[in-house]
Amino acid sequence: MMAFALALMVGIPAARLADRDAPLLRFLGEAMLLGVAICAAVLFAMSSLGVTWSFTRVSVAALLIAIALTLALRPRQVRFEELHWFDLLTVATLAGYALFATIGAPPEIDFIASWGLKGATFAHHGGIDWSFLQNPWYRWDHPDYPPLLPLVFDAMTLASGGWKPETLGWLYPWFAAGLILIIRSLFREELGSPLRASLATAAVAPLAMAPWIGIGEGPLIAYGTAGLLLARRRVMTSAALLLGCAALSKNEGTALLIAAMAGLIMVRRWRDVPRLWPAFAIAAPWYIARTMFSLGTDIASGPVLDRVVARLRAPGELLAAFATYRTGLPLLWIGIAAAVILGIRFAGDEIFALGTMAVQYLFYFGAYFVTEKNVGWHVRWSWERLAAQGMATLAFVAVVLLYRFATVPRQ
Amino acid sequence: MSRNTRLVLASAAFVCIAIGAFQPFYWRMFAMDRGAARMALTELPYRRLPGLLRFMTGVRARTRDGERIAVFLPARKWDEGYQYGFTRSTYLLNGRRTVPMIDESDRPLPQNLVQADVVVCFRLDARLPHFRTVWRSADGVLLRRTP
Repeated sequence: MMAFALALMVGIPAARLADRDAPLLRFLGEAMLLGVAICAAVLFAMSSLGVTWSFTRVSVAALLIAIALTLALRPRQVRFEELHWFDLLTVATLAGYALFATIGAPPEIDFIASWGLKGATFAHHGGIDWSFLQNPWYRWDHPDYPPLLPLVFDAMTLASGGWKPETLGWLYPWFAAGLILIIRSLFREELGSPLRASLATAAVAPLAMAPWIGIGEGPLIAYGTAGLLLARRRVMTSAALLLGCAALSKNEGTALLIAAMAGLIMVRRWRDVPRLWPAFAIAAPWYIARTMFSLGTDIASGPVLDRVVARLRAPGELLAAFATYRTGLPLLWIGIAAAVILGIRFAGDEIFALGTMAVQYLFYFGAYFVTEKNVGWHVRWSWERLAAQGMATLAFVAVVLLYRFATVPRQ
Repeated sequence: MSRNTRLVLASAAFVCIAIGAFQPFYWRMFAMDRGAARMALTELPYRRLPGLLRFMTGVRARTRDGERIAVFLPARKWDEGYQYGFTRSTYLLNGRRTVPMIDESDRPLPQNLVQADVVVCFRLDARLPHFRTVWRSADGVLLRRTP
């Protein structure tokens, strides 16, 4: 709880400064998401400066940041949004998700072998343990993966006084709630009534609740979806900050940042492309550190071109893998496809979001052509998670298209 | 296309999205025995090596941060059990430095024993020169380098 209080202390002024016109729900969602990221950034900065972590030091640094951000604020009225009793359905789903996420220590193997292992090791070390990341015996812990999530685990560990994996699950309903607040607020603006906004949010909300507790999908879905939806709404400062956090959550987040740039170019929003600079500024320190400490990525190791050529010549193995293994939620795909077909007349307004997701999924497919692992194995253990990363964005756009299709008269 | 037809089609697609996204599992949580679920989930990541969690927790209590721990496991091949046990042991012994005794190509790594302060043998018994047994349990044995 102390860690979340700290996150709100810095997140509230940060969100207010980044998105001055945000109505209350959007502002709260941004504050929740940006707050935990700032706590992680403080730990990264302390580690880079050689300062050993302690809760007192992190709290003082966070307090100073909060004061500096608050001093930069100009007082402005917050717009309140009308809620609807139907929002209780979303709250109940979120409560069920919180019960699920906090049953006990995360059992995911990627938590044990990567995200949790790094968090626990850094916590013991009192900072990022670069020698651990460089150790060749631990290559399977993916030393190249961005550090936001392990650092947030460490902020929670400092606040609770020790490594307690059974408490880390609370982070996941936090991420989901932050994203859902933003989605609810944006639906209110798109759909015009609290009832429609609450119905649409209840339908889409489960997609913000990643079932993989303890690993990078939860933060990536929250930051990536929030960033894209705000960029779609042209709230560029917040969008860039959140997309930067997505890039610090998983390597797919960096791909998403590139895809978002491509999306802006597709719709010729030339002036918004350089406005993504905060995202690159957030991601840059990690990529500099990765280069300095030679933390290579396994997916691009060895004869990459040979693998790509071989798989392009004989794509059967890849196609067979997609045919064999679970590829997400079929009915959801059908609903989204139907929405795009029905709302094709209005899809012009959604080219940014749809184009960005198309580029992002191309990156995913590209990774399967590049991977050094057996492609069937890779599809089996990753595709469902990768597909889930973009679902909340796609479902949001689909619902907006359906609303326009149903309500706007044909010219 | 009439407004009513558009409304019906849009509603049908919306229902597909809502049902497709729905996660009944989160609703079942309200009726679930969380204590039993917690116990099952705690053992779940270690189910292929029963006793590993208990043994490594015991090893953790008897070792110090920064110590190098060589890990012997009953599996002789990296992909057929060794990696499974080694990654999990490394997590359970975080803060210490685990070293494997075989590499990813299943080649033995006797040189890693030279660097080790401590040796743990899960479901194995061992007597090694320059090491003495400091703890033994039903799951394995812990040896420490003699001064």
